[in-house]
Amino acid sequence: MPKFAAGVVKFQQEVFPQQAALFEKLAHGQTPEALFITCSDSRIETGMLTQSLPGDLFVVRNAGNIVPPHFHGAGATTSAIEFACVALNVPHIVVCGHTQCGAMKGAMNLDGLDTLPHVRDWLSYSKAAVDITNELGKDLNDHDRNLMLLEQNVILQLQHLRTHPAVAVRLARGDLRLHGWVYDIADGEVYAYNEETGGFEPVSKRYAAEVAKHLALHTHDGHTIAAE
Amino acid sequence: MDHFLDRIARLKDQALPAQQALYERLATHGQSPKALMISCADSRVAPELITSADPGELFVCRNAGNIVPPFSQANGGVSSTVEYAILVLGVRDIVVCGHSDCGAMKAFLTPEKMADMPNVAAWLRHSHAANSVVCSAYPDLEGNERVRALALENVIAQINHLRTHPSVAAALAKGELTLHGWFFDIQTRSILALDGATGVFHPVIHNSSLPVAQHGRQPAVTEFAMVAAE
Repeated sequence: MPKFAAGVVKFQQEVFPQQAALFEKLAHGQTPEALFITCSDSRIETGMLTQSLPGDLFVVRNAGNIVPPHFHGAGATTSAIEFACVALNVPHIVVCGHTQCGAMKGAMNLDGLDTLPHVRDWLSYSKAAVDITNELGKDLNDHDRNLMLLEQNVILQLQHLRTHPAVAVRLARGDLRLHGWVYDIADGEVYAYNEETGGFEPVSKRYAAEVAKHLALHTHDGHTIAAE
Repeated sequence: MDHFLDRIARLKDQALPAQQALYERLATHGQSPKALMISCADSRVAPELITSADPGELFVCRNAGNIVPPFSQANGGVSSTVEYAILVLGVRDIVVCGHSDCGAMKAFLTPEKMADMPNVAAWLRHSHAANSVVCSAYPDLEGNERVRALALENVIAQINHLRTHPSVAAALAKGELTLHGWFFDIQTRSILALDGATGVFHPVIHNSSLPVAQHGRQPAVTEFAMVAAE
């Protein structure tokens, strides 16, 4: 039995009983608070990254955390966005990239992907981010240029998101908020896009107001205190 | 969302130190996952949780309905992710994991609900074969039982689609890939695995062999051996 299948037995015997009540509640429906679009990379664990529980996040994962712009064809990402915005009415959408992304390394050199025809076509949805990075980042060192590409790719995919009718309607209605993040695999920091400054900053700074509001409301919450 | 942001803001100080060494290794040496899991975007299905996987072990593709479009010239997110997983990462196992109470399967069975979701309706056409099987093989099922049957048959249909992808076909022929079809029952805490030979889903049980949808060919099968076998 492969290790991941043995892990299923462990989940059923150890983890599931601890969360039996939660799963019992979830058995008949979900009301996630966000659509979370991130990379397929095995080093990203959405539950751990956001400290969320089953039921919290509707999750789309593909190579490069890419959102194709709206067009007449319906794909995996497009249909999931529509389902999240229309059927689940999620109030937030997060596009989350990450450091050391293999897809973004590939996007920098599409000509080297001849043996991966699907991947090459797919990564062309990041071409504007690559071109911006080549233009603005030509004097940067490799590390900083790669980081710029990750950030530009997240910003680009947020723009693509806005072209989807279901997203556009919700934004016009004012009950949907978009977030662009980059997760640093090495140190666990998450950087969030600030539309006003055009830059990325640590989530603790970007969302300082929201976090303070939450803490003010929940200072006497046993759960929160126990977690601290 | 505020509590969610609060938790993330504290992540760096809380969650990571316990696994700092693992993360440093993963950040330095890159990822080498052994399996790709294709599961539903549904918030209740967490691939890493149900497999007890550590970071770095599971490459994950998630969409509405755990669907794999059959191979075509047109490119897509799922096709690209499968191709990358096999040709670049060299994963040895692919799991297609469906689940109970699936909103995508329910939507398929109630077309009127999809009137304002044209892209979802188009996407779910990839489950049409599964629905045809249910309609002809189990015509009397209704309600939740019908949803469950469709979700199970959908796993089989998507595994059939997987085999049409060149990278999958080649890896199976070389005996370097195994396909798995799973079903996560949210309420009864059970995970079922498809036995591809019989079409039956069995519970995954400790110390018993794991039912498998399709094994790769034995490496010894060559053109000569195939002729000899005829």
